[in-house]
Amino acid sequence: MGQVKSTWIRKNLSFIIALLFVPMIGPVIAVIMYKVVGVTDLLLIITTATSVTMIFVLGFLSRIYDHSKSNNAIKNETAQQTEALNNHSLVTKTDSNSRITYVNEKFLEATGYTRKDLIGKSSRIYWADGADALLHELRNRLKAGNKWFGEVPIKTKSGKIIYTRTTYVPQTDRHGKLVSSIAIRTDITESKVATGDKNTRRALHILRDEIYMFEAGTLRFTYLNQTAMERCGWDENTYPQKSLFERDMEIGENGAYDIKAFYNRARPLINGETEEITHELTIDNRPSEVKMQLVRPEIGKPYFMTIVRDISDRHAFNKTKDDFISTVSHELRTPVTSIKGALGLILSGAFGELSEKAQRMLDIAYRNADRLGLIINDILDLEKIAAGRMEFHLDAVDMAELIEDAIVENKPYSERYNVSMVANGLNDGVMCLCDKDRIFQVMNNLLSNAVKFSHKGGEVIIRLEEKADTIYVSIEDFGAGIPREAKATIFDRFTQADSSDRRAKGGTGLGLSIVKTLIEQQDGKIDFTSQWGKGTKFFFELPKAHDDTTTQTIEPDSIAAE
Amino acid sequence: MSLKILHVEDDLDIQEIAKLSLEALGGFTVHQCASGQQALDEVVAFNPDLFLLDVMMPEMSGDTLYTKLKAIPGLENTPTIFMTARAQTENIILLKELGALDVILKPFDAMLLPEQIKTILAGNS
Repeated sequence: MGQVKSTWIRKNLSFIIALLFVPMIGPVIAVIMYKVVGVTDLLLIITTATSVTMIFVLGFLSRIYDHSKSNNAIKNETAQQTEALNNHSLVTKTDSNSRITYVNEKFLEATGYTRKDLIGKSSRIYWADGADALLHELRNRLKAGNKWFGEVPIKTKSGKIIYTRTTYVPQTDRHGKLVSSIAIRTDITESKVATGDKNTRRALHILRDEIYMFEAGTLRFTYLNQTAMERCGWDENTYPQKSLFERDMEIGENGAYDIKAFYNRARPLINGETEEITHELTIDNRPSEVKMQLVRPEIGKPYFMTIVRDISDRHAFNKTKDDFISTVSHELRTPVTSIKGALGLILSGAFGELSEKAQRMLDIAYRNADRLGLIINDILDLEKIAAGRMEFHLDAVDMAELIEDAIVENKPYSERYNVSMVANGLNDGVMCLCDKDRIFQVMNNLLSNAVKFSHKGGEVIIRLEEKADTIYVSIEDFGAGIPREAKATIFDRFTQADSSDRRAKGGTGLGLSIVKTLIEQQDGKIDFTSQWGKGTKFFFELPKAHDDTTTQTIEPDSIAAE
Repeated sequence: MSLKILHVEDDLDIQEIAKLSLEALGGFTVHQCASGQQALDEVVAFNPDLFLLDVMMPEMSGDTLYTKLKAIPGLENTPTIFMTARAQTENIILLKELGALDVILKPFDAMLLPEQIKTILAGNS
């Protein structure tokens, strides 16, 4: 209180002196005239003293008037400046505990909060998530009595982020302790987005892919990169007047622009079901891959961003690869057919008895020809899986029938190893939703593995069980089992429990990897249990077929996308 | 009277093995051709009960030959089995849709080939 009083006296000292001094002017002049000058005329003395006093009074009043005028001018200017600040800036004031004590209209307008939402609350309410480090730095600076300038992201009431360039000014008491702080912010969101956009577009401009951006509502182009402009024969001045209708990306059968086809394709983006859609179109007679996104910017209208890539080379490459694989498969299998066929006929005794040694040598040759055939099949299957070109025709399949067929198919093989196959639970009508040929391939692989790794004279047990929603099949052998260290990688490519097995037992180490892929791509599961020295059980589950099951095809493309 | 099979296969080794297998083990009567054209030239004289056609052959593929054979009067209903390498598994459906009884995959087992053919014919009779 004492501090406030002394400041007021100091500021108004000249007025106080003048106020005390003015009433004394008249008497002083009268005394001087009478005593010093020797004037005795009372009227003259009074007139002169009064006149001089009046002059001083007038001078004093004029000074008071000037002072008040200048004070008003300052007040007006301050009010104008505050208004300008309020119009331009987002202003908040917080106390030493960061509690909000003041917010201006502009801040409320920009953030969507009401005064009630903010006053008395911690300023953390409008700090964007993840800005803790910035907040910490700011508080330290303010506590030290320093101003702070920087970019601050502010979280609006709806959760949207706006970017501000902010100046924080601390207010301290005479001991330098932080009392409050004022934050004056300029909203820079728009310019920040514009700069970001500019930088992105600069990068897009030089890409080899064509980039098209067009408004979601009107389909008018808002941006084309260099490649797109070249392909369309347009430039920066022309394309803003064009729309998707003038770019033949969706030409219907009648040669006109098919707007329905476009919206059908774009619907998942519009409904927010997916972030990106990819499809292939023929544009200007060239196969093209079109990727499309719907961008909903914080500022401005939503727009589609479309990237068009010419995939003529990819198509040509795939065609060459397909031809190559087809040729390799034919050219490799043909000699294997001859070798196996010739050896098989000799071994069958069709040309008379063989010596024991000759029989053994021909057995080796036959086994290896067989193995070569398997390797070719496995490699071709893997290539198809990797390229996403394996197609599945799902249908209701009688699982018991399929297992019986697989057992018949593997009988000659099991007889060679002197292993018997026993099936349990093969009840008719257990219908499974799967691709018959592929599951037959799975069964063949698992059965031949089980036979191969059984002891001579051993048994392989096949079980079929019907569960609530699935069909369960297990194939169990009582052979050597899989050692603990090999269990984790048994479904990996080129893996066998013991690499010497590959040579001793035949096989590529690819079979189980293929089997797993085949099962999983038909919505199934496969696993195994194994005890070293006691045997192994592989089991898989596939979805049950329902009465209304119809044939479905899993296209190669959808597999590749998974 | 044994079943008469017209076997068309461009690989002569496979021809020989198949002939041995089908005749010695299966007891069929086999006439073999190395190309589609030869088959078209000789089919009427042989008048087979079954076509056994390789698919991938130079000049004329098995499926083209099939269509041409079926166009010959009197052969419209002769059953056909294709033989093909496994890489064309997806084509099996197309071949069956074309009218094939079944498709035997290569490499086939010479010991089981006659049995396989008998099973297919029994299943479709």
